[in-house]
Amino acid sequence: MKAPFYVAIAMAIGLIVLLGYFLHLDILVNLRIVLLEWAVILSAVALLVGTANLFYVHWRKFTTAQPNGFYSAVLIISFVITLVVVGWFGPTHAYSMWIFNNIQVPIEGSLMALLTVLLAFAGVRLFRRKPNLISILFIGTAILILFATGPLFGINLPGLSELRAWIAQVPAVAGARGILLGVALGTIATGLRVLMGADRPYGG
Amino acid sequence: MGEIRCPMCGKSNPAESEVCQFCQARLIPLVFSPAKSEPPESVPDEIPAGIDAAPTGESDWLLDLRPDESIPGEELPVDFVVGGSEDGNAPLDETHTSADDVPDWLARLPGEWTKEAEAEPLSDWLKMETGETEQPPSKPAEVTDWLSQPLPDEGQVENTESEFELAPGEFPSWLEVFRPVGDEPQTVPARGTPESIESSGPLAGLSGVLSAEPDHARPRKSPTYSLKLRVSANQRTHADLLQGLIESEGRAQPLPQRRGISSQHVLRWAIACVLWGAVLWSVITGKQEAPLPAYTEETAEVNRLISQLPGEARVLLAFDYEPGLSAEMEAAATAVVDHLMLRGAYLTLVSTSPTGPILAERFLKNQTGHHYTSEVNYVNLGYIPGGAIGLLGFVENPQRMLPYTLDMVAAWESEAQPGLRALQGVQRMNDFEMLMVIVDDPDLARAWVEQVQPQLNEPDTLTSLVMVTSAQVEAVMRPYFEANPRQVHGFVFGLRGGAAYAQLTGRGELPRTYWGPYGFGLVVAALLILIGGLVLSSVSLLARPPQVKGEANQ
Repeated sequence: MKAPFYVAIAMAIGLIVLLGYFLHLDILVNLRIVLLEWAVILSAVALLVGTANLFYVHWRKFTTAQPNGFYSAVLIISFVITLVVVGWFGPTHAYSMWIFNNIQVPIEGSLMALLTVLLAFAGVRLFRRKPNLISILFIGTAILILFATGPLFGINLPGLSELRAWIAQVPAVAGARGILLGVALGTIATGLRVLMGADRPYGG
Repeated sequence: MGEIRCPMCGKSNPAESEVCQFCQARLIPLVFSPAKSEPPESVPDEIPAGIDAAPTGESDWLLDLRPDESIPGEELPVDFVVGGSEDGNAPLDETHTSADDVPDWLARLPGEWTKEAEAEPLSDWLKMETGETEQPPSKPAEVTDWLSQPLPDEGQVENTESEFELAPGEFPSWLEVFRPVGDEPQTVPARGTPESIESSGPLAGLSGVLSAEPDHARPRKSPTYSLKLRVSANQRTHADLLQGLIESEGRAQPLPQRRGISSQHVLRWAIACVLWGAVLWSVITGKQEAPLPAYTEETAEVNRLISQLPGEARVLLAFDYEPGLSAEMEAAATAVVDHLMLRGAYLTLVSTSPTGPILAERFLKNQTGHHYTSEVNYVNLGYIPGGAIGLLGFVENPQRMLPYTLDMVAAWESEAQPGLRALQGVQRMNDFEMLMVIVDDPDLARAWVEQVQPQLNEPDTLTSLVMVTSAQVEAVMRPYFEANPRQVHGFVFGLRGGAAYAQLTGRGELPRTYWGPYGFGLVVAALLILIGGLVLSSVSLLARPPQVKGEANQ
C-alpha cells in the first residue's frame, strides 16, 4: 500500500520540477523553488546526521576497546577540539584558520604527494606486468605529456608543444565529449525511469 | 524369479507382490468377476431391467474367455470395484452407477438402458462431482426408495452392492471387430508373467489395460521412511571435503610472513627519494628558473573579459576544490584573482564544498598587495548544501538560499537594510558581471556549467562564465568552450594555465615560484618511468627461463 503512495509523490514532484523548466508559470516556478529548498534542507540535515553518526561509531569503537581504538580516540579528540574552537570563535577566526592551515591542508596535501610516488611506481611496474601494445601506448602518452607540460629545462624541442596540444585537444576532448554525451543520455534515461516509477531509489 | 514393474514409479517388484514396495501403488488390478458375484436378489424399481440383467451385450466367446479362477483382486470387497469407499459409509447410490454414473462416451453408445438412464436425475454427489449447479427437485417423489431407506449395516451393504453389477453396453459393430476372439491364446509378455486381462466393462477381454486404482485416491497414512541416510564411500569423502571447506571459512587464517625488505620496497623507496630529491634540490637552490609558458586562446579570453569589467564590478567567485589540491589550484588562480582585485571588483564567495568557505578565506588572506576586507570588498556567503540541487536552488534564488554571511550578517539588500556593499544592486545571478568558478573536480565543473549557464542565456545578459580548473579538468571544459555559442567563455587550467596568465599580466608570484621546480619534477618523473620501466622489463625478460622447443611450438 505504501509503494504506490511513494511513487505518486515522486512522480508528482518530478513532473512539477520538470515542467517548471519548460512552462514559465508563476505557480510552477514558485512550487519548484519551494521543493528545491526542501531538498537542500534535507541535504544539510543529512550532513549533520552523517557527522553525528561518524562521532557515534568512533565513540562506540573507543569505549568498547576494539582494535585500533586509539585512532578513534584521536578522531574524537580532534572532532571535539575543532567543534569547540570553530563554534566558539567562528570559522574565520585566527584560531580556526590556524587549525585549518596547519593541520588539515598539510595532511591532505601529503596524501596527494604520496599519490605522486605511487603513480610513478605503478608506471615503472606497468612495463613489467603487462608488456603489451596498450600499456606501451599508455605509458608513452603519459611520458610525452609529462615532458611537454613542464618547461623541460628551458629546452624548446620543436613540435613537442604542438604534439601535446594535439593530444590534449583532439583525442582527449573526443573521449571527454563521449563521456559527456553518455552522461547526458544516462541522466535522461534515469530521470525518465524515476518519473515513470520504473526506478524507485526512495524504496517501496 | 519373475519381477513386475510398477506402472506408477517404474520400479521392479517381485511378481507375487500386490502393491508396489516403493510407492504402494497396486500392481495387480482389481477385476470384478460377475461369475463370482451372487445374482441380485432384489432390484430397486428405479433401476432398469437391462442394467442388472445378464450381460446381454456380450457374446458367448467373451464369457468363455474369462478365467475360471478368480484373480486376487476379486476377493476384495465389491465396493472397491464400483468405486465405493472402504468403510462402507459411502452413499449407496453408488450401486446405481450402472444407471447414473455412466460416462458420456458410454452414454452415447446405443442401448436401451442408456435412454432410460438419461431420464434419471443425477444424484447429489454426482452433481457435486461434475460441477453442475444444484437444481431444486421438481418432484419430491423422485427420491428413490432405496435412498430414503435407512443405511444398512456394513455386511448388508456388501451383500447389497454385490447384487448389482455393471451392465455392459452394446458395442457398435466396428468396435466389436476389434475385440479379441475367444480362441486367441493369452498373451504372455517376455518377462514371463501373464498380463492381466480386463474382465468387465467395455474393455473386457483386452489385455494390457491400465487398471483403475480406487485406493490411490483414498486417504491413507503416509508411509514412514528411515531417517538413516545410506551413502557410499565416495559420497562420504565428498561430504567430508565440503564440511572441511565450510569449517575452514570460519577460522582465521594466519597472515603470510612478510619479508623484511623486498625488491618492491627498495624500488618504492628509491622512486620516492629521487622525486623528493629533485623537488627539494630545485626549491632550495632556486636554479630551475624557466621561462613561463605561452598563453593559449582560452587563457587570453579570460584576460580579455576581466580587463573589460567595469569599475566596482560584482563578481561571484566559487571556491570548489579540496584542501589536498589547494597547492595547484591556488597557483592556477592567484594571477587571475589578482587581476580581478586590480580591477577593483567586489567579490561574493560561495562553495558547494564544506571546506570551500575556509579555503576562500585562506586564499584571499594570501593575496598580498591588496587590502580586501570581509563584508566591505568581499562577502563570504559560505556553503551551499545539496550538491547540484543546492546549486540550482542558489542560481534560481540566491537570496533565499544563502541569506547570511559566514559571520551571520545579513548580506542581501532589502527594504529593512541596505545590505553589504559587495551585493548592492544584486538580486539574481544575472546581476553579477562575472561568474568565476575555481574547481578541481570534472563533475563539479560540469554541474556549474549545466546549472548556471541556462540562467545566463537570457537576452540582455552580459554575465560571463569563466573557470579556473585543475589540469585534469581541461579535457572536460574544452567542449563547453568550443561550443557555439560558448557555454564557458574562457578557462585557465592547472599550474601551466596559471603561469601563462601570470605571463600575460606580468604579476603573480606563486606560479612563477612553482613553475621551475614543477617542470623539473615532471621531467624527473617521466625519466623515472621510462628508464625504470625499460630496466625492469629487460630484467624480467632475461630472468625468464628459456622455453623448451616443444612448449614453444605449442
